[in-house]
Amino acid sequence: MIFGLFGSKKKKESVADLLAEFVTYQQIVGRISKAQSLQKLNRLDESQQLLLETERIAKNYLNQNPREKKAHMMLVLFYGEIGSFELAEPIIQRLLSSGEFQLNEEEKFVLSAELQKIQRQRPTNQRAADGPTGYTQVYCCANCGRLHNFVSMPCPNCDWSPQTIEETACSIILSNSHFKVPALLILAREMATGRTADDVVPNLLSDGKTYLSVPKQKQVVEQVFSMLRQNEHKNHRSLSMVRECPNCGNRILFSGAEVCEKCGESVNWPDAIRVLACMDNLLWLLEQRIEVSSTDAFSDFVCILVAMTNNLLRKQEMPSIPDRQYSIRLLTDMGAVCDLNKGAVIDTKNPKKLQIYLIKSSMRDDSETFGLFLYKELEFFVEKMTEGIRL
Amino acid sequence: MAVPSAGWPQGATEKIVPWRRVWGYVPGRASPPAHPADEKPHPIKVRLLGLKANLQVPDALAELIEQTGGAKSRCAGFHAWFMLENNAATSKQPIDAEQLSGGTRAQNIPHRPAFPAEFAGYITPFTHLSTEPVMEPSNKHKHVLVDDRTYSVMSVRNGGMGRVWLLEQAFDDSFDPIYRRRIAVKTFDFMQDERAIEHELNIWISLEHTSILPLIKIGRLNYRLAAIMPMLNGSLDDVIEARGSLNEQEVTKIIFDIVEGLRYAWSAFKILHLDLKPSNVLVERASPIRTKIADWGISRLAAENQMARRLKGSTVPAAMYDQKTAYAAGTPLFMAPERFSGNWSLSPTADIYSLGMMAVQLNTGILPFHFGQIDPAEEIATGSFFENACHMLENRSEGFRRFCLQCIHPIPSARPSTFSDVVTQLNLIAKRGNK
Repeated sequence: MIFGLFGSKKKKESVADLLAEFVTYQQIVGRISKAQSLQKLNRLDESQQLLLETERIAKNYLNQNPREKKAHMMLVLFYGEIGSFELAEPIIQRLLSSGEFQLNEEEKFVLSAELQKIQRQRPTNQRAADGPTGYTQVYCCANCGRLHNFVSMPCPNCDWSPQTIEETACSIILSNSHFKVPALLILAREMATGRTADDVVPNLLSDGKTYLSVPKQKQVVEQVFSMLRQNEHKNHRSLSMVRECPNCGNRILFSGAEVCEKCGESVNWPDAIRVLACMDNLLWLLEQRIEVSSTDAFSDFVCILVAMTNNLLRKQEMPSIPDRQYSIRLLTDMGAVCDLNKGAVIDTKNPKKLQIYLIKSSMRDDSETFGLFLYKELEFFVEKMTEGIRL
Repeated sequence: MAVPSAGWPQGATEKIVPWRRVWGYVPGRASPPAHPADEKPHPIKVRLLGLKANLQVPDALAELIEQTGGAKSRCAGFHAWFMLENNAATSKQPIDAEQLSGGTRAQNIPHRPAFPAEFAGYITPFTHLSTEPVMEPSNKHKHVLVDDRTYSVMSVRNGGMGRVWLLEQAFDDSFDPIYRRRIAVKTFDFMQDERAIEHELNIWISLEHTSILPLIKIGRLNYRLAAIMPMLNGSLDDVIEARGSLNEQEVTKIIFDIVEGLRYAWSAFKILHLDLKPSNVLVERASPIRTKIADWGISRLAAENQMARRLKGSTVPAAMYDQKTAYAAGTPLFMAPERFSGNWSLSPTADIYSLGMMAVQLNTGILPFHFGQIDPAEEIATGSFFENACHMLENRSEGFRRFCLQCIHPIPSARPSTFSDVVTQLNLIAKRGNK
């Protein structure tokens, strides 16, 4: 057991950060990474075998050191990495609720965030009534109105980030912890017309101050603000960087674009960027064009889309198989998505056979254009969520 | 960017293309060979590393390409020529100059047609084509994203089938066993065939040996597939460049390390590397020297085994584990003569030949060819390189000399037949050296 050999002043943001200097953790991470690589190569049996061995190592270590909090955290990390959240959850709950491990504030913060993430990522019908709603925490950027899910990082669309504790508190308020997802979509739509967040949301600034008056909440805001300051100088990817034409800088609109519409340069995007562009387009359509629905499936679809887009953009993490399956199921549950005024309706009951209907009586001038745009992007989305993203 | 002075003739034409240089004439020649039709250079469109460029070749050569459909080509001697055969004249498509520009891989050569001697001087031999291996990072590529980490680009090395990025963490992140402060990342931008990429990764990830560069993780660099590996201290090519040559003990140690890795790959999975050369052997430690084998891009499975069955489950084509093969990928100067025949049996002797060539180059500083005087392909075909090697190794110890010559013997059956034989011989050399 080697602890604290290399002191680090870096703010710890994840369970991995808490364990980084731990030798057994390094062995485990090496194995998990190999198993994940084998999965990518479709060698699932070997991957499974390796994961079982790795689990055994983590469990053996825990058996030898049952009172050691890092031994428990290692198992949390292992289950989290392989997507077995249901196994990670009771361990985190025990770590947080039992006094025997003497967690410091940083550890409590990280583990609470991990627990909330796990509880959110359950399908809607399996969530506890008192648990958080929505597949992930979704924030509406207080500057541009686009949805994202990393409040501790600059907005992927406009690069804006809160500059004061008060602004950070407002950013946290503009999330699905305080508003329903449909309300956030309305906010996004209003902000796209030029209105500011505090104009659309009455009392936003005073709500921010009230939020900060609760010591525990203030502590969270301060943690987030500190992470923001730590992260803002890092070279984060923004959607515009990824989607721009390498020749003329024009934003490539369609995920399936072969050439830049402005300069004619061929678009040589890997599959990952095409999927990213597709999900970003769908999100924009949800924010600006699609008739907002109050169903859980609709809200969760927005949330999972935000999560997958941001994970792909920031971490280059491809949507996991459960996430892909869940998003398809949500589309089925939604039944249909409609362009503004129901001028164009896409039947999503069978996502693999999407049908588009143009309703003449409700059509606006641009219903056909946006309807077809939505149809094309949805079609590509379903294909990729079904078949996966190419290596 | 200046033309290197040593060996380059007056008036040598140089075409600067992104990241690479292509010279028109063989170094060492006083002047380009005369040809009646050769007055004006003839532009040929080439696609170099995905970018369009023009390569100037003599009119007569261009005409010949047109007339023959590129059939009169040379598989080993001149990459440009070979490349033209494959891509340009027959298909009328822009030439894919990746191989020309140092890809150093000749693929699927069914026969060895004669190279027209009158043009021998016009195309640079492949040994000099990859003259600009390091791409200075442009502003655009100062930082790259490796999975969720940001790295600064130290340099980029272009290989025949991709690029290797040497990276350093841009921000002071905590220690991570995967995303270390310095890492090397291979991307596969130039490879169009996904199956070939999968094949390489499948083999690489299976190999775990101290003499083999490990594949730490399959991730992404700027949204493209990437293989993350530890960053080592350059390759044996750099060692040769810095030191000129190495003594027998050092060479024996290096070859011993490499052959241990090869023996493991062969005994565990029946895998042959098939592209052994100094640039594919990385230096982990300089003194005492410790090396690791890299780049399993064209390696092959020589038998139906567990690995083959695994790969069969994936999309890797059956040809990739054929025992008999017409497959002739590799770096021609390090390829055993039988590999150009179009029908040869995969066996360790192919890699043992490459090991021998490396041993000669490491110990003498040069390969046993008369560059600029005789076409290397001719020397490989006639076996005359072997005589050159005999002369070059005259002053070496008997054991070392015999070992090298056995390994590079033009006849496969005269070479050590297994990697274990090579180990035994190296142990004997080491024992004699100690005495």
